[in-house]
Amino acid sequence: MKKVLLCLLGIAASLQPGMVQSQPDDWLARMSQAVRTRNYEGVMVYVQGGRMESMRIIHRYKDGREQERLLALSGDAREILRDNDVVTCILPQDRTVKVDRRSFGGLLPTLSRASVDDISEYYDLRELGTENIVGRACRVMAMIPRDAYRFGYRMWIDKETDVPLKVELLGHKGEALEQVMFTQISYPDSIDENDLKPAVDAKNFAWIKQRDPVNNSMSQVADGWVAGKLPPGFRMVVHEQQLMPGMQDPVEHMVFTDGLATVSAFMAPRGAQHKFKGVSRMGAITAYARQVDNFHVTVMGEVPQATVELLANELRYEALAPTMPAAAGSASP
Amino acid sequence: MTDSTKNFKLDERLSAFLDGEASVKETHELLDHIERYPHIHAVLDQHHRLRARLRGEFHASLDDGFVGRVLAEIDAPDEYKSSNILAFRQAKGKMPKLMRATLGMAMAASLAAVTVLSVQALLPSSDGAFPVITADLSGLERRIDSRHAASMSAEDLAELNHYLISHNNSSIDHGLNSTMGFMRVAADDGSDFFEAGR
Repeated sequence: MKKVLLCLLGIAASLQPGMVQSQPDDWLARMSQAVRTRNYEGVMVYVQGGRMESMRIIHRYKDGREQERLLALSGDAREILRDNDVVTCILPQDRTVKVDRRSFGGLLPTLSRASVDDISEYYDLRELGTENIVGRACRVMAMIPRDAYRFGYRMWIDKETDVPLKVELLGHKGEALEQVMFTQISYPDSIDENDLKPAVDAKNFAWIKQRDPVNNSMSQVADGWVAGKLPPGFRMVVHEQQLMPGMQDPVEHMVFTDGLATVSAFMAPRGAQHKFKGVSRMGAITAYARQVDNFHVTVMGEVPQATVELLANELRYEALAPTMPAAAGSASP
Repeated sequence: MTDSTKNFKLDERLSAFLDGEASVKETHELLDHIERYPHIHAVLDQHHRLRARLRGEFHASLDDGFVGRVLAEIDAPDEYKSSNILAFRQAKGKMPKLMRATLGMAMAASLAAVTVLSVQALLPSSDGAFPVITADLSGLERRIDSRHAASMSAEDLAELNHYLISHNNSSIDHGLNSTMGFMRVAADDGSDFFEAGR
């Protein structure tokens, strides 16, 4: 309890100036609509610790069709093109093109109105005032966790267009663990078709197409591993088996989310040769591993240590389990 | 779905393909196989990503890596600072053959892949030390058992990185972390990984 209070106080202290209550479902819904239906182009940077990477982004919405082109400005040349739910990755160094069909909503965050209601139970959604990002007036919004099982977020949303120009993932003291921010943005009325075409001629590359539109996993599994108590608000959204490179046996994989944060659990049927046990932290990602009978269980996600530890300790193997972990109860904060 | 022999051969085939050592016939067979079996597609994603990291070895700067680690340390919250940092020793020089074989098959980006920062943090530094930052265990004042961590093998590290790749793949499809996951994937240039491989 003390930790929770400290966490809330820490974040609140960093967010005090200009704090005003707002209607969160309005601004989240408007933002989600804007990132899909606006034309925009600009440069985004990703910052974590001493690391910074930049990408050029062009987004067009025309006649109900959403197209996006991302071009890496640092590191290996690579382009990512999205045409509604078809995603094409061009990797010139490897002379390879990958084509996937995916359900995700693109680079900028989108949240359904239904999920906003769920989120507000576990995050305090607040408007903090107005600040300028790349010369544009932005509404500053915060999602402050109500317990110690999740990190917070802060977003700067363009007041005129409702497009988020900066997103931060915040630690318990309000410090930014990761940031994504536009350093340049424009909203053209129209975007030329040529601007959405790749700069690289990839016709002689190896093209790898995914036939299955949604399922990259080996199979959906309904029994075996189950979770007991979950952290409040978390539910299981994926339960599958995966092959991992270099591993002979498939690994069971579960994904849990509270609507904003995601946590993965991996259960590998291995013995004592695994040495990794305990907690490790990597930027915003916390990992926790333990041995459960003949399985090595690893839980990781952009969440505090308490969350991965609780999940790892609540996972157990039940060969004939008839229920899904999503139906399990929640732990008390 | 797969027995261990088949899986091993799959890795070999992917390795040959990504190393440019597969014949035209073998390449066509493999691409056809990937197209028919989506789970192999996911395995290839991970190979792609890690291969990109290996390639970065040739343009990574030792000083940049060092400065990056120092900055990360400075920026880390107090509870994660030096008293909790354990420097885990990795063998110097070439990576172990098994890890090399696993990572060596990989390549570059895809939306179905990876987390940059996680791989960056999980690989040994250029001088052979592998900084792992640990945190309190729910106020119980426990710490990661250094005997376990110090003996973490290259295979363990590779496996942990594969988990992180898979996690980011999942993050892209869910929640507000989709943006962060997307940027980690899209911005990945592999430089930190390669510094680690030296």
